[in-house]
Amino acid sequence: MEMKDDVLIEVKHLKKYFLKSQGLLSTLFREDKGYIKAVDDVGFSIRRGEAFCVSGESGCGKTTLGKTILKLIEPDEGQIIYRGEDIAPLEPKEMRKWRTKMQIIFQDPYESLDPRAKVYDSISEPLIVNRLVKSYSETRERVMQALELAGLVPVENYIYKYPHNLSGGERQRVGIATALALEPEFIVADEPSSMLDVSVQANLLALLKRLRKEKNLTFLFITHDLSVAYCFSDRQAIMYLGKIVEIGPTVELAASPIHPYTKALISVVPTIDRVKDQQPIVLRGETPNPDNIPPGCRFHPRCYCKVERCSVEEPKMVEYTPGHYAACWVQEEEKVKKGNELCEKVIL
Amino acid sequence: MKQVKSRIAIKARDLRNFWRDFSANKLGLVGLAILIVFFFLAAFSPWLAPFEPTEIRAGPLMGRPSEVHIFGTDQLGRDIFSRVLYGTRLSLLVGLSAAAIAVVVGTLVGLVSGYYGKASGEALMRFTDLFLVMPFLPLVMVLATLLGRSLFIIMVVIGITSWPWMARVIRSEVLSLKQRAFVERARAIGCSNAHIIRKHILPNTLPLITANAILIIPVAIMAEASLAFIGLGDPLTISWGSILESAFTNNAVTLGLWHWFIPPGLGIVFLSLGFALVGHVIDEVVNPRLRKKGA
Amino acid sequence: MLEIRNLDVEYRVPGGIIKAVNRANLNVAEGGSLGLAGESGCGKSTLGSAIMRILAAEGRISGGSINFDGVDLLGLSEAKMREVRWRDISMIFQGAMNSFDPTMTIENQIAEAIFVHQSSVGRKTALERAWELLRLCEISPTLGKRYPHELSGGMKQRACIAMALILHPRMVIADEITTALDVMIQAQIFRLLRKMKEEFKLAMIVISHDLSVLAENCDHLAIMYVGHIVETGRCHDVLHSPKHPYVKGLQFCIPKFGSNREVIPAIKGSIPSLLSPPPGCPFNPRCPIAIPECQTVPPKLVPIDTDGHSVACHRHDYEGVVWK
Repeated sequence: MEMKDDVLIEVKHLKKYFLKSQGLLSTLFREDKGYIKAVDDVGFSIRRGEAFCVSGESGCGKTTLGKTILKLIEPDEGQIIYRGEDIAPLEPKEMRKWRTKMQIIFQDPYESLDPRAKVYDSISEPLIVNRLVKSYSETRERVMQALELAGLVPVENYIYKYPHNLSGGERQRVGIATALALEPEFIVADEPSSMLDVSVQANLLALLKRLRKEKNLTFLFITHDLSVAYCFSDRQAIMYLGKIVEIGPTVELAASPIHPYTKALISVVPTIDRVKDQQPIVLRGETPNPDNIPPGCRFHPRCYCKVERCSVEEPKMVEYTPGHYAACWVQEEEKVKKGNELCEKVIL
Repeated sequence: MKQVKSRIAIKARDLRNFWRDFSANKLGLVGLAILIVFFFLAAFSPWLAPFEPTEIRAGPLMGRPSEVHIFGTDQLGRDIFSRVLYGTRLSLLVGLSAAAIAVVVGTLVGLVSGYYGKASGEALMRFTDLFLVMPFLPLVMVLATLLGRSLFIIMVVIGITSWPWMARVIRSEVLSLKQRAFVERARAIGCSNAHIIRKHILPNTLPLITANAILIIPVAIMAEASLAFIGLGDPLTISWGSILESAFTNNAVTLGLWHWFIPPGLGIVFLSLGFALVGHVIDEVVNPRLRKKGA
Repeated sequence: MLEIRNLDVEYRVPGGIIKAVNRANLNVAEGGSLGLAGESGCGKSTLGSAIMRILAAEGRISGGSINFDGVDLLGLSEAKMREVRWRDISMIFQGAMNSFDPTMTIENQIAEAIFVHQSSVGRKTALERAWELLRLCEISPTLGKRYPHELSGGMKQRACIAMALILHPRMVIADEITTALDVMIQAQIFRLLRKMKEEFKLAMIVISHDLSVLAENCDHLAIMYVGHIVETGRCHDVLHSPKHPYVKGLQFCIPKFGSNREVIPAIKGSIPSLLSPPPGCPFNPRCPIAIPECQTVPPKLVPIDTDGHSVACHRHDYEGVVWK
């Protein structure tokens, strides 16, 4: 299995559509109107050890994307190339051996743990189910290791507790310990800290950063909170209505966003240190329903600098600076213009 | 072995906590007391009964209550008190067995149809609905006629007419559990469906199963009594229903022989009440914990 | 305009009695905007509900005074308080689910407040006023005939704002109004709120766990911890030159978009349970510069300058680095 450029996972043309109505008739006649295009032709790659963030507002499809990559939701089309092998068409049984490598951290610390399972049971379960341990003492050893890694020390205080005895932050750590027990390489973190207090969130993010360094973990971090994305990730993708509109290095994206949606989002992120002369771009209206996607560029009804072409044709991803891509007709024209000007200058 | 000991210690603590919550509600304790009394009576009826329940002419025919026969005697001179005592055994036996059948079948159907949704789930539910609408009395009458009037038939019939309710209750719980994040997590770590049902779905439905199972028991007891009362009971066994049946066919009401029909009637009422109270309090204790979220 | 002095609020819970708010002291000036911030269990929502005297049945105001325009609200009878509610002070709740009756149309619910408070006003006039307010809140009045579940989250929140302003109150309390909403809608809602504040010359109390949101929308800030107000003052003063160790620690914890990418989990430990709060200063177990006095004597909120910057800390004048 070859890995080019140390790319751990590559997603190509990934699609996941949900049927809107469950009635018998609409299942028989598969019309386009009946689909919710949650993930619509998404592609990107994540390098080993990288923290890649997918951000967007609710309904943009980021959570569906994360779960589809892990095959917790079956993709409709596209490829998910993990370590050189396309896992998209694999059957659930075949996926099991990959699951030890790819894990997930859930958003809701109150829902993601079995209320009737003690901490020990939750963490030992993946080991037992995947037959990674042979004896009870080996299991206990690994469970304690996982708890330590997740910062739940002293271990004895936590090992036999029930979830309802633990705080939100502690429960999230148990979730992390469960994911870590399998010693994965790739973790999808679905809004892991959005339900936690600020100080607890800081602890959790620091833990994830440390784990990333120590264990060389690769992260797909899903969040709607752009501040958290800014502080945690190396590269970022902004999603809107099932498509990626911009993708690039996080810091560069924040400093010089290209796509109008990104520009608007970034301008409204509340921050303590806002420089007063930056006018926030507050868009009108709300994100339309995913079952009613506008033609052409999905963002055009709310866009503040659109042209004719935007309502007709979907823009393609174009590279602006190395590694920084965006899909916007207006920006593309700008870029071409600038490029031509530069060319003229050189010739002259 | 240190871990095993602590697991037992944890289970013991859980039981203590459960008892603490259960006993906080006085009604539950009342129900429990009633049940204990009846279980005692049923267990020790051979020693407690002054006469053999089937002994004909143990006393005067249709005798009134006396020192010897506390509840008098029936039309064949049998001591009613002894018969009522022995009747406890049968009512409990039928109630518990029929409930057991209903619980086992209902839980299985509920689990499978809830977890493996869509086509098979729907099919199972329609099948369940069939049994739900099946009329109790005609079914028993038909079966009794075809297969003879036996205790076993009664138990089976009550069981198969009670399980649909259980199946529906379990199914809806499983449907909602299936959506929860911790089930998704179980799939993410590579658990098979069987494992998830066994380790995650079933334990989380157990409280609901228990509470409902206990509530089915009085239904079964009443069902048996009703059947016996209309003459479809097993003629070879003594049950409260059959005592009531002989009381009514012998005009006990018009003759004012209250000692004949009131004791078995009260027996049915109180035994049902005992189970109902305990069942309701268990449900109350267990459900808030099921839904308990925050620390 | 609003003066809260030594307010105590208790809750009866299965485990005992918890003091949700301890000796709270707050001021809101005429036309001012105060942000009330804190983490879980700090008591900010309780404080908001206490001002309107709409605490849950288990809650009880056990001490102190709430002075609104010279009138002590705690001394009013329930009947008189009902008049004050909505007419003078109104509230916008979190999750519009809490505000709307699913069986009534939006316009009827907004107009309901008029019917209750000004019974002489005819139905048509009341509805017209409701439409006027909906329009001001950037909702087309035709949507007034819809039911709450037919509106999106953002629209519902806007309708909540319209409902809160229908009687032209003098003060509005907004309790976590954008917590469940996306950042763009949050920006829309707060822009609307600021516009309404200008239009109606409102005083505002904005309750939120998100300090960044408060930094952008309020002039003053009060930070709470486990039922105590630990620091108050102008937003800029509190956020950029905090004096309380907790607030200093929070600064490191908040992810700051566009600047330093460091999120340092400065504050160790976890928030104590309200059932057994630490004695003395509630923050003392987690405070790196706690002294013996902190464990016995609860610090009072004292002003440290003439601009209203106040701190409740025995060591507020500590000059060194608190968090390493």
